[in-house]
Amino acid sequence: MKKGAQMFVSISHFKGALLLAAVFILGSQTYIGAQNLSSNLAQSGSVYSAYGVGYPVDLETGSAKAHGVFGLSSVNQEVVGLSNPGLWSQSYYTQGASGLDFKNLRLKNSTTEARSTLFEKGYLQLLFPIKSNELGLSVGLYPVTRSNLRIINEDTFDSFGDTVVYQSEFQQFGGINKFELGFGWKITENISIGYAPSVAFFTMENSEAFNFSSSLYAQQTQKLNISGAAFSHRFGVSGSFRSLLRSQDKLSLGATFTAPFSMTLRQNFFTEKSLEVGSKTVELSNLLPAKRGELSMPLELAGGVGYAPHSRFNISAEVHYQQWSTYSNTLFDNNGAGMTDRLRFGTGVQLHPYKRVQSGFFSSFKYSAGLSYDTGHLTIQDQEIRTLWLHSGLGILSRSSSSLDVSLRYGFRGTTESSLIEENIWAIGLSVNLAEIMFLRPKLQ
Amino acid sequence: MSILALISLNACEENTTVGVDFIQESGIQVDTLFIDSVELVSVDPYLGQLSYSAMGAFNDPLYGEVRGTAYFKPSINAASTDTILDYMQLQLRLHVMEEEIYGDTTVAGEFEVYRITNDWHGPSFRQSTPMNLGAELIGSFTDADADTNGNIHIPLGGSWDALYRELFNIDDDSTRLTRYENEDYGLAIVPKEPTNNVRFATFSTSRLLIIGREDTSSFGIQDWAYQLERNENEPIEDRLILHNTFEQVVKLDLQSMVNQLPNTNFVRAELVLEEDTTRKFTSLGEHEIRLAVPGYRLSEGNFIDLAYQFGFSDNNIINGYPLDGRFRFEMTRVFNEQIYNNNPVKSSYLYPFMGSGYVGSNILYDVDANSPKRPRLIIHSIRSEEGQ
Repeated sequence: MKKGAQMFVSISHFKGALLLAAVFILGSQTYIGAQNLSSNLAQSGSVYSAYGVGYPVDLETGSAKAHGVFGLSSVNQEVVGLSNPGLWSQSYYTQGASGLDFKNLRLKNSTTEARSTLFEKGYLQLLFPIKSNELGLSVGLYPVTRSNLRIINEDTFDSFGDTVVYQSEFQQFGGINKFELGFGWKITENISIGYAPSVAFFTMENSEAFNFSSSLYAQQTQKLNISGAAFSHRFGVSGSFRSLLRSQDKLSLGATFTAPFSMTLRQNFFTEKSLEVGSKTVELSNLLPAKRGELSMPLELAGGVGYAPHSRFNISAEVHYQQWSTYSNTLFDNNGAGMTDRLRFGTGVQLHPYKRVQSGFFSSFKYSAGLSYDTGHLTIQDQEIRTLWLHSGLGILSRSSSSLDVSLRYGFRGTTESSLIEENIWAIGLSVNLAEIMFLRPKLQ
Repeated sequence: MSILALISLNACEENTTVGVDFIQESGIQVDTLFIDSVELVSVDPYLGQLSYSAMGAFNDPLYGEVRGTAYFKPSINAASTDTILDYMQLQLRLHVMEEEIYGDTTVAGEFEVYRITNDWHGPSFRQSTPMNLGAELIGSFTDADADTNGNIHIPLGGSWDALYRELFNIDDDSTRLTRYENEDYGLAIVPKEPTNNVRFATFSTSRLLIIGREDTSSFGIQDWAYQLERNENEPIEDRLILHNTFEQVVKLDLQSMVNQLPNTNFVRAELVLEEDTTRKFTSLGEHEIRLAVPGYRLSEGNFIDLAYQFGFSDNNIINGYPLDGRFRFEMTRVFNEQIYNNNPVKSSYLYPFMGSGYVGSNILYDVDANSPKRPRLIIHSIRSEEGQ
């Protein structure tokens, strides 16, 4: 090999790298703005996202969402996602992955119902195989909790015998996101470990706009911005064993641990006031009981197992535990809700007919199905807010390891008892996984 | 605490309502701050060259006795083109407002005209301007003589007639005008018994007529004014009587009011004054009427001339319009300026406003009144659940 050849970068693959970088940068910008942009889209998500720092977002990446698991074990040998840092060593290709969701919610109580739609950006990940199938570096940006809420309330007050009707539109957007930089290392032939430190940043905007039926009262909008940041740590381990029960079979195990973390929150309260100089944004923070507070996020544990008797079929089961009973937030309470430990179980199967050498349109796809059950992290009026999801999905594979995964899920959340709300959710997810060999050393000349 | 809220979740196509009672939201809270004390100040109003000039007398059972004397000075010919011949008559065609009457509508007002014996000027004329009248009767009339257009023709005679003729017939313009300015101070219209109402003359449309055998010349009124004498009744406990002639004006300490505001994001702050409508509507006798006070004004600022500010300025004014015996002032901007723009509230004065010279009075609940109708601030603010 000639001297300097190590620095040679294949132009064609450099284009691939640029493409991946462009996806990441563009996606990042979209993602960072997504939760605020939502306010312009007349959207609202789960009403239960009003509590705490938002509703927990499960870290389901790639095709995992389509069969009810997180992808902790990755028995299907596809592109590895964000779920388990222990899997990041198992990469030969440079990968870029992102996902988004479109949800349609039907909300009902014992008397009435409403519908809502929501477009959500999911996660972003770039995975670089520093040493193929041995050491991988992952850069990721993903949501941990998310609140997406828009509530319109109508009320009245008396003004000298006249009834003034006012409408208040409450919007809450935001949540905790993590920017994570981690690595996975294959320590033995079968075992890999991973560590992912991250910066968790919290942004939440609560706005309330008041409109009055009487022209004597001017429209008012007040906004509360809450933000904070902290370091967080996540650990993962994965194991993969072949030919246990039969030749060509595979058993994969995975587990992750996310350490609890705390962050200092700061809040700003402001509104627009009409003054002689015109409209001016003014601080209302003096109305707040406190400008700073402490947020404690819970410990998380997850584990899963996957078994593939052969390359065209696999079955997985995973469990995820979040110790929400330790959650605390001194800045704002939970609106009367109690926080309880959350358990989520998921199981599913996948078919990979395309791995068989045969023709046929329907054999070109990957098929997934599964279900998951979530005990929820909220107890409101003695009612646990549980969720049952039915998962299904279709994967479209390219000749490389790139794939496009479409998931279709239907979920049942909450209850109509105790004047609560039951949500029936249709969710369509799209996950794009790009895999390229970016840095290729030329062969000996 | 939970608030029953009707929520409407706007979907792309549907908009229906789901009731929930477990989400805390902000609402509108209404706070009332009663005003503990006010200061009363007296302002000497400008009463010259207003659109309407009060003349007459009325003993208002509620507001006391009021007596108005009108002053006017006709123009004289500026150029020597005419002569008043001996047989010609001088006559005032006085225009009075037909509908606007303060007092008894069934009793004709009787008036006498006397010469003014001191110099005066309408543009600077105030209630306190000293005025002296001669004893010689120049003319007299009753308002029952008004024609269908509201004009009363009043023959003028006596020494004023003679002087006016003499001056009018001077050939030299400068001499004529100088002597007219220095020797003739105009005429006063004084009510006499049994007048029991106040009428309002419009001198801008009144004329001095010089009536000949075949033709009549007319000259306008170059200056005019009026003065009111009041003989107020005994004060009524816990009530505040205010006149639009500013004998009493309420001075408010708005700065201390701002300091008492609730610690909230207020969307509207209004100052409310309430009339004692019972006394207002039951105190007049049969056939007696008052002019309605169309509104109150609040002037806020550092004023050099309060009388000018109250009478003529349209700046630094907050109007409080009446509705159902109540005057409501929008104070939101003023308070916002102090709280959010480091622009402290300045001196603030409240007074009934009836521009143009009409006379009106009002009775309000005082700060000492044991009544929810006493002066107060109503604060509408957002009852915020934030940060809790």
